Amino acid sequence: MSPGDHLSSDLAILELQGDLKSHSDTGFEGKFIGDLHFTKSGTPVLIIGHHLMFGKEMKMEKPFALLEKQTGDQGTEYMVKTIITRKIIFKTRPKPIISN
Amino acid sequence: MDENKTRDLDDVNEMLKLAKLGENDVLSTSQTVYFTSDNLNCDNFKFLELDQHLLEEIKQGQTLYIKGDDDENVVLCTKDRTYDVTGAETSNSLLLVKNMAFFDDLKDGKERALQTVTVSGVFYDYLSVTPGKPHLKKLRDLLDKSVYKGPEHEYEIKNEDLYGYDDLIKIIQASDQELESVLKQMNVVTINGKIRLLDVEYHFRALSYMLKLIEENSWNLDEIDFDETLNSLRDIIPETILKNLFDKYTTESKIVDGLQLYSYKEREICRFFAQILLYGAGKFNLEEFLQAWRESVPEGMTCDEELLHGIAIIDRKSDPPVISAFPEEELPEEINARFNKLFKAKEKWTVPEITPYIQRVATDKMDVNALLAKFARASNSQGVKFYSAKHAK
Repeated sequence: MSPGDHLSSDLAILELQGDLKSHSDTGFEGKFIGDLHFTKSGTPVLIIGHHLMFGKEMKMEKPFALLEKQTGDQGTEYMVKTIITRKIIFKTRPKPIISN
Repeated sequence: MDENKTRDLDDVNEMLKLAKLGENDVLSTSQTVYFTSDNLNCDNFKFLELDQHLLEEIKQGQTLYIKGDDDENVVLCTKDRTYDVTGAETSNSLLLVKNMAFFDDLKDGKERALQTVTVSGVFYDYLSVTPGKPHLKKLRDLLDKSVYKGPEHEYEIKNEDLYGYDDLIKIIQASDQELESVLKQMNVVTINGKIRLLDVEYHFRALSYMLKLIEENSWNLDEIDFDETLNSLRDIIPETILKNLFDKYTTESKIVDGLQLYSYKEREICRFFAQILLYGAGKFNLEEFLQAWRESVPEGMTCDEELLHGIAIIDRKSDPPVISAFPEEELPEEINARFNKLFKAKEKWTVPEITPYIQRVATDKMDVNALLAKFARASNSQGVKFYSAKHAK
């Protein structure tokens, strides 16, 4: 086992165009965001509210390390919590879902 | 919809239908995405973009160092490299998700099923890194405060101005390997664990005493005796300085009757004495300089003009030819400014002449040749390649 093994994990990135807005003034904590599906040919599909988006799975050319800041006697340290190598990106404009 | 009710398959299927997609159009396993119920505040977390080298270092469990005072740009150092760090903003939201399944994880599923994905943070920026150079100006500034001028001057030095290697590596924006290598090039000595610049005149005096022993003892140039050097001089020069200088200027040569002997590094000695002669003098008549230089070094050492590259420039067009001090350390770090200064000081340079002046700003991606191609204009004169300013008249 190599020292970096604990870094492989179940974390990834879901990248969305724009920002998420909550309808209520309360925080996001615990709230439902949307449904994620894959078409049979492998295209990720995300439904948020009344918006439908098609995305893409990607292996990140430049992976991300997730750093956690820790302030101790020796100054500030950042722990590498994990390395993130894959993401699903939705960069197309969402299509509105029109309910009949 | 009741936001507190957990979504079930019916809800998900219903939404699919609204989106005019059938259950048969998608894989049997669908995922519902929720924010974590824990605090979403991610101020304590940052994304750092990695290149191959950084990725390997982290996988091997190596420590990376983030360094920078409030007035400095932040750098990231591995054991041998320095990266410039910049904050990159994205117009997209980056959701950090836990347990998100990818296509390959789900493609073989048969039964209609639901899995939960948790978003534990939303990010709009990340730290981006580009391979850079160590930032060394601060090193000189710090060491300038505690220049060693001899034991009789030590009372002038404040304790808080003294730095050991462990102190410097924390403050200086350079990797371990880069800092070690630059300290090796600088005239520093280690006294009581503290790294000190050696005053030029004191350095000259001490080294001259050491070299004088060659003649006094009729030593051959490759038969320098360490113990004898120490014994003869420890009353006038502190032993620690002698040892430091001996380390710096000699290599092992041979063993005679079980005694390790040394020889002085000819190039280093000649270079140092050239610097001493040029130090403080504006311009020098070239012939007079070369003669004084040859006389300053121990007999048998050859003062090669090529050793002057990086410390002085020679102007053969003037009558008589002159030489002037032009130390690399005093050039600006910024590449454009550096080239401007170089071409202002001398119109045309050969590659060996200019190389020592741009080596320090070169990187793996942008080596000396690439820098010259980008920032200078090449020309040929009698089969010799010269470089001059890109936009020279």
